[in-house]
Amino acid sequence: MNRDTSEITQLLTSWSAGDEESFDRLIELVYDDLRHIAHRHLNVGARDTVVDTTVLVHEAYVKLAGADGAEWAGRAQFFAFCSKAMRRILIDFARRKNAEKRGGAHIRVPLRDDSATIDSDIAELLAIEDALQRLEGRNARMARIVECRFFGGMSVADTAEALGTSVRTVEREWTRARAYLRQALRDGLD
Amino acid sequence: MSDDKNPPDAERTPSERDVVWDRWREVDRLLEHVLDLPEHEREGYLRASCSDDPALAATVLSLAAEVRFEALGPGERVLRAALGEEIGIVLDDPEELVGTRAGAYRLVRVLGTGGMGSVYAAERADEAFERSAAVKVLRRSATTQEVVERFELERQILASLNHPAIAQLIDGGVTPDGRPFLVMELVDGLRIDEWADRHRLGVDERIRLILGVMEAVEHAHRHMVVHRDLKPSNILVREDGSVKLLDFGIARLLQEPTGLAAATRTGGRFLTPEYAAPEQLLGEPASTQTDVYSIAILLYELLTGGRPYGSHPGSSVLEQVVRGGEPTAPSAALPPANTSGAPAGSESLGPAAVYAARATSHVALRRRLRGDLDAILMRALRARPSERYSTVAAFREDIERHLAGHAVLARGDARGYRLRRFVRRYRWPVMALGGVFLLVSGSALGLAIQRDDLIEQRTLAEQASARATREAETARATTDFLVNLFESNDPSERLGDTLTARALLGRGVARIDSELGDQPAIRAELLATLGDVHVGLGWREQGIALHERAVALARDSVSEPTALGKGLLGLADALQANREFDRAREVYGEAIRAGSPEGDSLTVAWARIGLGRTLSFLDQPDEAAVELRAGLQLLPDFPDRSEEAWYTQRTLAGIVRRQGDLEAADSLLAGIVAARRVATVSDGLLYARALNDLAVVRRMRGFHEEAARLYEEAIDSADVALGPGHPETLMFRGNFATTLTEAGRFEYAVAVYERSVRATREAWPEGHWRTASQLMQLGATLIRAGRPEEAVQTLSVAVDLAIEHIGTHHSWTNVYRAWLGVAAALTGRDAGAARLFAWSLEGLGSYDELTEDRSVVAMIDALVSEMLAQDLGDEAAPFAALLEDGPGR
Repeated sequence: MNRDTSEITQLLTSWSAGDEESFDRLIELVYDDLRHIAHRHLNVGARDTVVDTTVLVHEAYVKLAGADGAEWAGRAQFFAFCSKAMRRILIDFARRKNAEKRGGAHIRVPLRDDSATIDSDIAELLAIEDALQRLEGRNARMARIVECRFFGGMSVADTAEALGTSVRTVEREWTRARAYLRQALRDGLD
Repeated sequence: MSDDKNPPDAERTPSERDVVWDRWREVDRLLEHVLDLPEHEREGYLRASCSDDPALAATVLSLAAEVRFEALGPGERVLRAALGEEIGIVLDDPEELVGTRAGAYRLVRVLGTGGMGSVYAAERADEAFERSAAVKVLRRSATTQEVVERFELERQILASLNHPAIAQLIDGGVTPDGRPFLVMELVDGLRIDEWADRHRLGVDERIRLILGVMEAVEHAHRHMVVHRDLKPSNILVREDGSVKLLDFGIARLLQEPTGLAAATRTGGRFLTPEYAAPEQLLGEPASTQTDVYSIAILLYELLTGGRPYGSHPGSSVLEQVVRGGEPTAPSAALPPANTSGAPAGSESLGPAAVYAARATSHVALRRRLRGDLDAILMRALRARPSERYSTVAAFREDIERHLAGHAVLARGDARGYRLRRFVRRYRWPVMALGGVFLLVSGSALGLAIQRDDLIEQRTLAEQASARATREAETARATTDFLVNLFESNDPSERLGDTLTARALLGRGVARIDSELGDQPAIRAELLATLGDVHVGLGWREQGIALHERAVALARDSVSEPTALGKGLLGLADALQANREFDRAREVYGEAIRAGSPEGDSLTVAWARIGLGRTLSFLDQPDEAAVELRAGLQLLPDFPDRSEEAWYTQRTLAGIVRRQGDLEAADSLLAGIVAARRVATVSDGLLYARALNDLAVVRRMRGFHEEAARLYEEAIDSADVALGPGHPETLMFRGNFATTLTEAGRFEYAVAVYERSVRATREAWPEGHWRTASQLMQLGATLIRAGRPEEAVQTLSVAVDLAIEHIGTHHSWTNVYRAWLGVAAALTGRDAGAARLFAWSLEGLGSYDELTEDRSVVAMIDALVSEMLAQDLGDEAAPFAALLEDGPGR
């Protein structure tokens, strides 16, 4: 598989222009890298580290764009892409966990005293996903903003660049989207 | 992206949530408006505007109330679990092991848990004598025999570290259920940062604490162990104020072995991002300079309470570093005295606490940090390992110079650094001017760096500090001069004015004479520098003339006794570059005679090395080897040995190998590899080359397994240093595949070539001839592996590409055709095969220089042997005849 930067750039461009198939192709191209990066972060000392998506996404960018990141134009688009990929990884995980719980399948990972919290985290993720899908049907850009900010840990400025809109719009819509999400969470977890 | 939604809760009464989604457009418009209003006006506004619809008003109001809470990203735990699940990490319960044994020790209680595993307080289980220890049990992972063996080997190295400030490794092994464990000295102490704050240590005391840490790290470096994970939690201070470093080299011990499948590097490593050097974050190998960086972060934090990149929130350290961001100078990172809130990057302390803990004030601390300490830390924190202090010792000595009130080297270096950054910053405009400036600046840049290194080497070598200061001043004057020369030509000001490099240099020479007439030492140095620049640009005659002037000056008017030897050395190097070998030999001899009585061992060393090189050019390998060896012996050994010295060692190895002394070549190359293994970063390329050379020697000595392992490692390094598509990397892979083929490991060889093909496709333009040549190799290997059908596919593409890019009549194209013919014959396509062979023979037969073209001869040779091996003797005969008879006309 030929994974060169120009192909990624091209796919990012067509994805940003609304071609959803490009997303699947992109995932194929960089998913392994994302996982490896994630792997490395999970290997680090739990005590001194906070695994955070911002770091993951930035590191993925640096790695894929090559050491000379400056050459590569699609930085913000790439972050947006990683954010969506992160959403997929997290939601797939939450769904699987949920199914295991219901189907009584073995839970391989014994997450001792944290299991209660994990359960609520999973419920939270599912509730957010549910709300996000509703939001997507009503205001697609707001959903995109949530992806960038929530799943990708992107800054307001990067989000604005990725979505081709103004910082002010991102700020205002993110504020409202947060309200919808928080409300959905509260309702979903009662 | 999905269709199965969380089932809605059917029994729930219609809630605000339903209102939101059912009447979203209305809700959103109202919410947007309401959020622009001050909070106390919102309720009134909503009541008024939807008086007939209290449910809507209530919904919007409660939504507006939500935004006061900052929604954060997904919780760390869930992220960890999700990603962990993805990649199959198994988490253990640390308590499970309490009460069990690890070797002779019984685990008593959990002291802590981290990503690598858990640490336990333990006691010796045989009660013969009571002894407590800390036992680190590693997380269960893929514990193969290889991992265990490597673990054992590394453990022995670590056990040899014996220093009062390093927690001793006592024992280690593998538990019955396959978890590696380490038994270490149990240290009772406080984290270094906590200790410093609790005792309200001032700046000097904090620095002295770090000096203790540095000595311990130096000790380890001398034993070729790099810590790789220095951070406050790994450095404890005991009651008596002495420091103790934990977990030395453990990070490497836990590193996944390199090699095996170079194509699938997972890069599983253990590091702490806040203290990790950029090269570690980028997944490159750690070196002694990695520890320099981590110690600098540590000192930075101890002094300022913040971290170097702390004041740029919003993007990762790595990205900032890669984009060329500079760390904040320590003195600028201090929190203003009068604000509240935490200082840059620190977790908890407010400004008042920062100053109180250091028994100082904002103004006083800033004054103390500004200047020396800023410069020292900024140098140690450079993103490129090669631009940091080359050793922890050099870093420590500069700090000690500062404490003693002497001039620190970092401040002189900062000028050279400015020059280098200047060049980097203006690279593009500079290129636009026709590349001339780049060449000039590039050479000057190289010189500035070399000279910095020389300053360091000199100070190491020389006892007299007065002399060191004088030389540092000369060097500083030199760099200042160069910086001025180039900054006055800032291309952004001078675009369109094509001042040529020659004119620029001419002006430099004129200025040397007019401005520095009364300073012969500096003049001589600058003349030599400009001489080097001229030589580097290819104007060797002028360069030699400048060096001759420098020598004359040194002979007549410089009082410094070592100046003459240095001047002669520069002249000899210039002569050698101009291929005036006889004269170069003479002048190197003079340099040796001038330097020896002055005890200037560095000059003598480099002169003997230069002489050795010259003798090698003069085809006197025996004499050359003697000189090179003698020169190398005069140079400092690991870890202070310079890049160029290692390259010299590689040259020497090449000479003795050609003389047939494989064992001597082996030990020279093994020496480079051993040292580079812990100091690779500055030149991963040298490491890769040395590994490849060593593999070649081992293969010649008949150690095929070892050769294969070394090739793998060479390829790993070259992938990083050069990129997988670089011709040299491809050559290493080719060597490796040949060794594999010899050992009958065809499938592995196929995989290696597949990787090479991918790499060429990525690195070179679509369909480049290099891809064709890699495809040919892959096809040939597929034939050997008994996969002729795939070989047909692969070789067809190779031939197509070759026709397109190097022409249908090219001799290589014709060799590829013959390979395709072999594959065709093996798949029963006899007619096609016959046609291909005939075509190929016709083309090769009309190639006039066939028997002189070594590359083609080697290719046909390989082709013929493969044809014979595949029972195609009749078809092979005419190809063999080509080589014997030359082209048949």
